[in-house]
Amino acid sequence: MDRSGSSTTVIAAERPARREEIFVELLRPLAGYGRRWILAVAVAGVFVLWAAFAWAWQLIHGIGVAGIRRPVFWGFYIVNFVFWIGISHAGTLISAILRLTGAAWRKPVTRAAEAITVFALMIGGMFPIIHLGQAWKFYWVIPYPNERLLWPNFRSPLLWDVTAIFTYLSASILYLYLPLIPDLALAATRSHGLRARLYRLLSLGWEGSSRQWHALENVMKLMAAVVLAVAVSVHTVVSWDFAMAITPTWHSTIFGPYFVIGAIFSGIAALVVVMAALRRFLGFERYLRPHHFDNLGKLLLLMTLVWGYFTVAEYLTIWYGKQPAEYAILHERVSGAFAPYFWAMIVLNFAVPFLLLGVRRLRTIRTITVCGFTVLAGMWLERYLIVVSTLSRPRLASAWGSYSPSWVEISITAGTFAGIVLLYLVFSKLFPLIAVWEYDDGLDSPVR
Amino acid sequence: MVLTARFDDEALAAPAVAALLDAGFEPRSIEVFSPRPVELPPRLHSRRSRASLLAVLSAAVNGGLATAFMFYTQHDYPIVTGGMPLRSWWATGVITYELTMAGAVAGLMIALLWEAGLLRRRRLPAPVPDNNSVFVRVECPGENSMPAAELLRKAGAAAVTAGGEDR
Repeated sequence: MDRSGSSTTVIAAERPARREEIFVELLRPLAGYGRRWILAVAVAGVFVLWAAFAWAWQLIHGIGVAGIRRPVFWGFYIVNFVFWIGISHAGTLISAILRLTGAAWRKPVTRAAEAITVFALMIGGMFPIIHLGQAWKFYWVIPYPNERLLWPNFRSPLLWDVTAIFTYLSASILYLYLPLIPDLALAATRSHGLRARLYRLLSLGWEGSSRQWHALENVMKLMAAVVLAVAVSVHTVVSWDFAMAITPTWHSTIFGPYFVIGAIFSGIAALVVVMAALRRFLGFERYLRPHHFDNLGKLLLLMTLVWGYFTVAEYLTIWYGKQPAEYAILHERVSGAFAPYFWAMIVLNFAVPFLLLGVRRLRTIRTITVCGFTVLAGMWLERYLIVVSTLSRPRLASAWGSYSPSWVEISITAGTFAGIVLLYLVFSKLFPLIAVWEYDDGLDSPVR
Repeated sequence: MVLTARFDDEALAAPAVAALLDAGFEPRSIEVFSPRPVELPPRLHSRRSRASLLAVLSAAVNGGLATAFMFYTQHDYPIVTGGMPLRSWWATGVITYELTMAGAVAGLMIALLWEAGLLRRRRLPAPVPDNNSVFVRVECPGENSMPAAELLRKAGAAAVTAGGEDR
């Protein structure tokens, strides 16, 4: 702004038109179904249906149709469980941190991130049920009075998981929903029929009064703090599913923070990919700007370094200790049967992001998105290595085995990736993917 | 009597509210309606929020009940623990923590519903602000309505309407 304040005057004069433009643009994706959207839903839907068929096949024929065999009794399903729970940290954790630190650039990013959290948790939470085989017995983990006078064993880390995911899912849904309320009220005034009725119902009678804004902002800050604490605990609890077993390479004190770091890492990567897709397919170039990607790229670079540090700390300790059972697994990972996965993980999680994000000139929207994809692939491989390589090399060498996933596991895995795309596509037609009131609130903010 | 003033610039709402408060109008009788949060005099919301208190209480109650329930089930059906303690704070601590946090989340949701007055029948219909307008509504006895209207006009209100008698 110059000394006369003329730029302020210009902004103030343009404000009404710009606000209307923002309202219209951000609510535009809710109206109509384009050809590209229908095609994307159809393709994702086919994958999801195929996955549903594969699961039905497993329910009918039993868990034997999956590739899990002794000693590898946890395979793709648990890998996917850990992976998706990790992805779920995209939203709530990142959004909560940025909200609590008052980062102005978060505004167009948060809702997309919070939606990832809810969808990834829904998908991740399904995997232990799929892994059960007899999925209909899942309710046994719910404590209810029964004729055998049995209760679930609350000392078991598996029960910890159920509770942690229940809390995180509830908190994440509310954390997504609360800032959505003003936008739902707004959308209700600009839609008709059933859609308007749905928005009015979901907006809970929001009027936009100063008391309501005051209460919402206050509760959102507190909710962000609570959600942050829950998010950290959830992935720690997931890591304890492994670390509480006296199994070589799993029984590690740093597994909790290692998993949390990995979760934030993959979460940021997922957010970058989703933002790039929104920018490309919904035409949000004006809202998801290069500096949003640049900031996320820097966060991703930071997490690359932190992940590298934790990985070195974990592997160096095992190597230096040379305990036979642990060393056998390390050997398998670094130079044995799992070496291709291990080195691919290092390249995808560390080498590529370090190079592309570390050199400023190379850090563009395209390269940041590429890094998002490589980190997602690398983190999936990391989960695969943790689960499968360890189980295939138990303490007794005579019990060593191998694992190869069946078509059922591969189909269900592919189906969940299509599933999150499908959920996102449906969400994009029901709710604004960028918080209209928050973005509008930051109209005059210097960093947008 | 209820007066509703429309401002076509949201920056004018704060001085208008300040003028009403200075003139002795009760904060609870003044309400501002806007499509986005507007900076207003802190005096307007002088009542402290109970959200954090409710969250803490709700967390403590839920966490306490969850722990008591776990210990009850472990006493009700004492499984063989191989010499380990039947009731263990360590092993049940995680669930206590998670359900304590779940209680906090529920408490915050209740606090929002209560403090924002959501899901409640409205005494007065709310004005619907468009993109760029802000409404200031003030409830006052009939004899104060003229000075209030004058204050609002002086503060830059584009229109002041009277109506919506308090029932």
